[in-house]
Amino acid sequence: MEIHQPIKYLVKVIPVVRPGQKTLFRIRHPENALFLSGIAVTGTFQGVFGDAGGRTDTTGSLSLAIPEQGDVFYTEDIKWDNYKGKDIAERNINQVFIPDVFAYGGGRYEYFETCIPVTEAILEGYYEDNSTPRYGRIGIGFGGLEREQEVLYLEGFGAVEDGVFSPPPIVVGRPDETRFGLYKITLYLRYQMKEVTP
Amino acid sequence: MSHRSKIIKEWVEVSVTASGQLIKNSIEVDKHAAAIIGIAITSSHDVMLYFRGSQRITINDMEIFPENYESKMLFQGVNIQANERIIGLGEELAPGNRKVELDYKDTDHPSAPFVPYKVRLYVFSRIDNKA
Repeated sequence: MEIHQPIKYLVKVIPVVRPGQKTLFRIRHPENALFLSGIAVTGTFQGVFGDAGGRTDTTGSLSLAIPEQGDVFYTEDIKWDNYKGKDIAERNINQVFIPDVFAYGGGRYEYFETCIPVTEAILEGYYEDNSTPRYGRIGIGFGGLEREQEVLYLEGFGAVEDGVFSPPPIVVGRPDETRFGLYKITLYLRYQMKEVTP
Repeated sequence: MSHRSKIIKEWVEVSVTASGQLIKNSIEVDKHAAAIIGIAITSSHDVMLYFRGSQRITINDMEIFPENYESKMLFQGVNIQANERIIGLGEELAPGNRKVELDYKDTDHPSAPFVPYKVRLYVFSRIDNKA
């Protein structure tokens, strides 16, 4: 007798090993899947620079599409996981009475509820990292007094040195890849399965 | 004849004593269990479970949560009411051979340096009593 399985989870792990990594991946739907009922994404990226205001707390963006239809049906900006269940804006608000760890202040992860019929065999996904620690070395100063200084680049803001904005620097070289921390993105897909007659 | 049902809560535990361990353990649910309705997972050290844990859970030889399913996805804070701390399985499952298996895997994580900890998987079942 076949055993009926009402739902099935599928897990896809995407290792991110270099800054700005772009990953295209494909997922084969499980056999007997009726429709995709839930989507969740987690990431293990840890902030390198703490929680200072103005810095991004997004590690990258993920999208899912049905290739035959050219249809993107899900996109998500992945946040740092800080065990606090809050994003940067919330953490910058001084909340005296709310505990600051997930076990006390948070609830639990939930799936994004959806209903995507499984009509094709393959699902296509794309993840692009934008967590790159934008460290590098720049020349600061004028008139023969230039010195090289390690800075953090912020897109559109020039550089930040010890928390103070500097004028947009002349960039020397690329972001320092050795400061980049390996992390992984985990995609969870929850399927509603077809009834199987015993 | 009235029909009553009650929910029972059983558990299986693993002790993680070294970083990177894969530990397996299993239980057989109560012989009076009519259906398995859900699970929950806790730890003696929440941060370890949240950051380092992943597990595979099978019920009646059927894979419910696959390998690499992170524990943080099953982890629940105290903000969840006690009666809502049951993670459902889509619908109630027939207990079949009554075996519930836990394969727990510990993985290094920079935010949670290893210390020994225990992980406990709770299994919620429904028992029907005919009175």
